[in-house]
Amino acid sequence: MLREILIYISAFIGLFATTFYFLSYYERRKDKEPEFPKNAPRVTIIIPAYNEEKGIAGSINSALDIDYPKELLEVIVVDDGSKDRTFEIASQFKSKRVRVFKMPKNSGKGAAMNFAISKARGEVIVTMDADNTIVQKDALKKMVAYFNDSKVMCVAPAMAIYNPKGVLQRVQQIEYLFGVFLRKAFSSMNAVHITPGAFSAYKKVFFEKYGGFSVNNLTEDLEMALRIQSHHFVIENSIGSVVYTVAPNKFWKLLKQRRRWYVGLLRNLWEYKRLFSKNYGPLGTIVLPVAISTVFISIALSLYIMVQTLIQIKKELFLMQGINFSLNYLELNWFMFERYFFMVLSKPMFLFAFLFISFLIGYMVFAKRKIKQYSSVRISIIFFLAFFSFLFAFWWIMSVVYTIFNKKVAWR
Amino acid sequence: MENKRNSYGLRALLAFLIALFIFLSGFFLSYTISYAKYQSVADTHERIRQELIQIEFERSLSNCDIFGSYPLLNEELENNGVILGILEERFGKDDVRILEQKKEYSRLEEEHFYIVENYNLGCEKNYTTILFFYSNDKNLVMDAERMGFILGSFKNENPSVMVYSFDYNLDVDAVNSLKSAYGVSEPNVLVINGKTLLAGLEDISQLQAYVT
Repeated sequence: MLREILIYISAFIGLFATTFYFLSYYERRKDKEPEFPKNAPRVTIIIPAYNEEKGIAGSINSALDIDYPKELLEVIVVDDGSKDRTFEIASQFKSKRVRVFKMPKNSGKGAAMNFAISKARGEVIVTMDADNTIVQKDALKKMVAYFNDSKVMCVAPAMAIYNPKGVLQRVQQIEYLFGVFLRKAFSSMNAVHITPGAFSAYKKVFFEKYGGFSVNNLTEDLEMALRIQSHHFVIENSIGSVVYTVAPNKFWKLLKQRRRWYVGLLRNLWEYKRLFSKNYGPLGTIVLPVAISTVFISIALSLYIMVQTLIQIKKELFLMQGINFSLNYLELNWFMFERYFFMVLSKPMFLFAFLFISFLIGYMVFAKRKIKQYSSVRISIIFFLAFFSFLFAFWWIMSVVYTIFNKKVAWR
Repeated sequence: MENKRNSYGLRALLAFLIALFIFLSGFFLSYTISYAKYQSVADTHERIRQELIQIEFERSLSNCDIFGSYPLLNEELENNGVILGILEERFGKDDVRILEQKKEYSRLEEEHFYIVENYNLGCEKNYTTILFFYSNDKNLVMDAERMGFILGSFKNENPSVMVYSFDYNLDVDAVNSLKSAYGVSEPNVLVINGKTLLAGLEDISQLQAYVT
């Protein structure tokens, strides 16, 4: 009974949120993408790097390949005390357009970026990850165009996974595609609260007036997004600007990444709890409350299902013992299938599950139209449906435990 | 700014109403599907009743292939029993419509049982009949479920076994008369071949001796 109640509450919240996000997007669907300004601003792409000898060259090349007036674009690489050949490799790219610095000791991503901002000549600062981030050539021009609006302090791109292989990367591929629609819907109501550290653009004046990135923060990019929102500025989403990132392909690497993200999210949301207010429009009254309630309902439901599954396994063993674990109790005939379909279709929770899978497919179709995919989405959807909810619950349970007990979370 | 705020408020209200409509439609649709299934169970019961009358008539004419013309009758009857269990969960144990169909199902099972008993005698057949009086009481339901599970597996291994399940607490003539005829005074009891009473079935091997 408790499981059913939680599922139906979750289903209603999901239905309401999805409908609201869709209506918000629909209202602004005909908004034209802004035009690239005649007096284009100078842009500084900053690439903080720590032990990224494998990916740094690819990221610098991607930055230099971006279609933007060359005289207005510079790249600053900051080696944050790497112990490998990151600085040596980056230094090979030194030129008029590429400057490379080395921090005296490892000081954290926030400190490295703030150092780069202090050296930047650009009016627009773009943060970029050092581990093989691939930026679509026209992405930056489209993003910069949004800064024509004086209220816009940050522009986020559409993120996708580059060439996913294996189950874990394919699950993340769908998760990121899901995010393409959501981020656009959020931006239509100025409710973007997470900007990807892999590639986001900021107006330098915001840093000058409100300070640089938070140092020693697990998710300094998220903190910056919340800070921008807290000052009632706008974060836009340039859905036509596509940035590909390489996703973790090992379970423990992925777990560490998500633990950092989610613990960072919880800690930063606590710092900015004043955002949960009608003063911040849909962000404060709908988007953030829905996000938090979804997390906690998912955790409660997962724990409940885990316990129920163990009880069910115990019961099955008890039953199977009576027939010496023979498989003869299975009766495969038309009646069995008929009963199975009836059981599924006669329970509202399964009907809602079909509905949400349809929404998911809708998001995929939307995202696929906007973003080139390097790997089949159909196979990835199957992996996503099979594994994501368990992974999601596991990551969040771990993150909540870390947050409650204030445990230290390492970057890597 | 005021317009945008109003528009977001109206949008939220519209989203809430649409979500509520879809949410309630989900419950309405599942109720409709369950009700349609209930109707189908009632229709099947009516058809089975007619078929049993026909079968009894043919048996009385010494026809020794009584199930030949109705090869799916046994499976349909069993299937209806399972579906009634699901409908009981959906609509509740005390739902008047479900109770009526449970009673009808018990009557049909009783009729089928007597047809098979007479068939065994008159045509020298060897169907094994098992009457299972189960209980849904909280303290007894786990044992009842195990017994039902064992009986289901036993029946799958032995097609000549006929299992008839009755709710011990169902107040209907069919169940009361069988309980009285075979001296069943407590739930979770089996009556095998109209002779042997077996309580506390825990293992499928306890039933092997009764298959002929």
